Amino acid sequence: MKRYQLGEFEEMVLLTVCVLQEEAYGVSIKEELEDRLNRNVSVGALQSALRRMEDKGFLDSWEGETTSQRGGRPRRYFKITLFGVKAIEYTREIRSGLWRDIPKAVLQS
Amino acid sequence: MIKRIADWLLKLLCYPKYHRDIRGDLEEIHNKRKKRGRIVADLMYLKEVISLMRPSVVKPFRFTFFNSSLGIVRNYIVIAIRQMLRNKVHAAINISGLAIGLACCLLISLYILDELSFDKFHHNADRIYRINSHSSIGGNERQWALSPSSLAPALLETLPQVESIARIGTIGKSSQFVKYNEVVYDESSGYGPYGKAFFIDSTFFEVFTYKPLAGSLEIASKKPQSAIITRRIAEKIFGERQVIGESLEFANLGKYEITAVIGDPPGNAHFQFDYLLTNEFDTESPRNFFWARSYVLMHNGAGLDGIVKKIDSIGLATEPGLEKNGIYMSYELQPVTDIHLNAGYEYELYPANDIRYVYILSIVSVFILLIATINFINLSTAQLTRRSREFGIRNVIGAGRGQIMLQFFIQSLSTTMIAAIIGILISIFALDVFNQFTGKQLSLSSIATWQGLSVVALMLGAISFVTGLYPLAITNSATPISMLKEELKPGSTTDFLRKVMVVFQFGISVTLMAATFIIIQQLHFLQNEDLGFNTDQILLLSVDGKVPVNRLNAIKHGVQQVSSVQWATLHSGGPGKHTNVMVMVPEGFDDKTTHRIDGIYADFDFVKTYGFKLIAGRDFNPALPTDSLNFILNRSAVRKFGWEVEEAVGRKINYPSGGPARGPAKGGTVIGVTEDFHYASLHNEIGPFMIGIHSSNFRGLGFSFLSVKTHSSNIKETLTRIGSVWDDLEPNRPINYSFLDQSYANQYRSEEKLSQTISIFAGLAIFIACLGLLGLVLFVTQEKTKEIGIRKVLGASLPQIIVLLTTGFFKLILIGNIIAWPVTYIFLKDWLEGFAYHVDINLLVFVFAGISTVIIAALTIGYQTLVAALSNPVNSLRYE
Repeated sequence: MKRYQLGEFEEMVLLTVCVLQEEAYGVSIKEELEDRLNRNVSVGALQSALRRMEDKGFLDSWEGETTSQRGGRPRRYFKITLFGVKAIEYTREIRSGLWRDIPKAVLQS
Repeated sequence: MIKRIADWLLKLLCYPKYHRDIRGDLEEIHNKRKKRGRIVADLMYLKEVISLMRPSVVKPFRFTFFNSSLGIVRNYIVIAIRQMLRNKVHAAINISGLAIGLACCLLISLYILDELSFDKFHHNADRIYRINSHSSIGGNERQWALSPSSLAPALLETLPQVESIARIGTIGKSSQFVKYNEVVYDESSGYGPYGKAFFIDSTFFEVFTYKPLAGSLEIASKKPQSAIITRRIAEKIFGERQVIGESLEFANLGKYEITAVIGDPPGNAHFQFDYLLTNEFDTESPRNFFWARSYVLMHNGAGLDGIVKKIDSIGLATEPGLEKNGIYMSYELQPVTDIHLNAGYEYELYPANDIRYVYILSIVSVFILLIATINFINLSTAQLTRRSREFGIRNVIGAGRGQIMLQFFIQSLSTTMIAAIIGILISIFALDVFNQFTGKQLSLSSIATWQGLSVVALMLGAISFVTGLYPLAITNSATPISMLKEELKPGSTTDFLRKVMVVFQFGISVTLMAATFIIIQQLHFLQNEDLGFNTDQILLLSVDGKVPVNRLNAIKHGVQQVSSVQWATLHSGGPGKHTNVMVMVPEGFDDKTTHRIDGIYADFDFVKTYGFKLIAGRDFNPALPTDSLNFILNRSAVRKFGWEVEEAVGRKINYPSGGPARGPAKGGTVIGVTEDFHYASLHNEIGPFMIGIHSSNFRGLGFSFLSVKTHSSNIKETLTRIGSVWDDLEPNRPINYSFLDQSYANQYRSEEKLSQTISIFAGLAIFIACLGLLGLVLFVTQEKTKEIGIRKVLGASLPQIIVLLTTGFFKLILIGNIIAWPVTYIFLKDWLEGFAYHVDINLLVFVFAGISTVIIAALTIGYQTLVAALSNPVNSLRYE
């Protein structure tokens, strides 16, 4: 249970990586997230979250082509691992379980 | 630029694993943003970098490296403190010596900084120059801080480089009585010799910078009959009240309206004042202002090339009368910031300081610090041998040479730091005394600038470096094995160097001590030399030359009625005060060859009051009316005119045409000759001198003093009674008196200061040097415990052992003495030659200084040596 631990921000990032599929790297994830969340996402926060999740084994990363846009540095692309998929599924289950059990009355009030 | 700073920050702080990706992302975003403007993008980039500094991204500061080296440094400090505690005596010697040395240096630096900062507070200080004059009158060369008051305006008109001018005119002492609301304030004794009130130009504030507190300086300085006063005077006279628009009445000058108040002139200014009165220079005929202190403000970037020559010719054109009267002038421009440290100009507004004394002070304080540093070096070298095993083990365990160096450095740094803290405390406590001594208001805050602090830091660093690394440098060749075996004995070079340093220390001490003796001797000589007359019990009352002579005579007669008064005399100037220049044609010279000699005009009782010794002829006789035209000369004057003393009496002396006499008085006869007497300070040789009887026929020469000779020991009562006579006859002016012997003594104030300073320094130098000696003796006796034991067992006597332990040191002290003697002799000879009359250097002084150092050293090391010599050999030789 503990091995699936995901923070709120981490979950968002992980989901975004899945949405973007082949195009998931730092800036694109940041833009997608900012678009959806409607708030600023700092590069540092994003990168550290990505790397943290890579360490945990939720993500896989590889270096792509270098561009002059990045001052000659390669893009680092991310892809969700099977273990990562399990993690988001697990989180979703917990959530939907909780949703299911909320009495209707509470939501209506 | 901004981006580069941000990049640098990122690289510095970011965890290296993330750096490349983060940098790449940022770069990409930045590139996208660049379309909106470069600077905006850069700023956003910087903001991004800063907001990125979160614990998860920032690299953990290489804690691994930092931690371990910090730990080692902590260990070094601990060891250093343990070492100090174990060798308390050594530590105390090092710290106290260094602390005293640093405190000396700190205080002296404050003093020197202040001396060097004079007049720098004016905004245009680098462009302000004073016009000084060199005058040559009948072969008599003099340098004045004055120039003709017409010269500066002429320069402004003719020279395009001159932007503005300012002149300062002195107000006679008699006018420095300020009346407000029926209260009279005596402002005649000012910060310099000219009282507290001065006349200024309307352009004064264009040249000099002062802070206006009330009123406008621009308007005030251009308004006629207005007074600009300082804050302290505004507070003294008016307290809290509004001062602008009030009127002050100056004696003889009339009413001046206060138009502005300015901040007090800072202590480091050559012009100290409380009242500035306007308009005087702008009137048609400025009174008494043939001469003025004149300043020019040059245009920005205007060079001085060739200007001085032009000034000479402009001066000649504006005041042709001077050269006609045989006064040859040339001029120079002196930067305003140079005025304070250039003694040698007459009529300075504020006594200048002799730059040599500043040099002496700084050199001596550096020497003190050097002596302390040498102690430190000597003692740490000595200790090194004892700690060689420690370093051997450190080396074997893996400490590199760099680390051992670091340890040494940190060790001396800790000692230096403790000494610095104590030194600063000492200087804080000593600052009050020091301020009293120097007459300044110094504060430690003036050194608390970043320059000052970095100099202090550098100095401390340098001391730690030298004292820490010198001992190590001499063990350069040591291997861990030799260190472990404690074979790390200082080699012969070290020993030699240590000896040289001890010689050096004692050399300095002896130099200072001998210098003190000689300076004190000279001072004693200056204060006690027979002046040719008696200065005791002569009271000088200043009188106003503009007061009619019969009223002055009334005061004189009133004072003479006081029973304890022996004689009283009115005179224009006199011994210990200024003298006049007399222009004359002695008998036997044609009318064209005028002579100019010092002299004064007095009344008939002058010679009697001062008790000059007559070697020919007679004194003035009031019963003979013709005597009022006659003269008394001194021996030098007679010699100058080429006469014999006996034949001088009866010779004629005439005034040249255009001389001081008005009307029929053309000259008189010499009736007497006095023995030479010192009418000026002993810095100067006695020159030809002439006493004449004052006559109302003389232009511009009034009485300045009433000298009173008393024969009572009760000075206080005499003073009260003279005071009451004065108040009856001169109710509008407070009495102003001084004692002749004091005004003579005041001429030697800077020598007195020097003797006090040098003796303090000599004491400190000897003290610190002896501390070092004590430390070395402690070390040597400990080193030689076994040797002493064996010698005693073999039958050496107590004196033999004492001789064994001490001979080495006394040899060094003697060598130090022998080196110091000629050095002192050369320096002091030079100094003494600045006096026309001085003591000869008695060689016994050196012997005395030498014996003193030996005795002081013997007392210092005596106890320790005795303890060592008396110790039971069993204790030092037993092993079990």
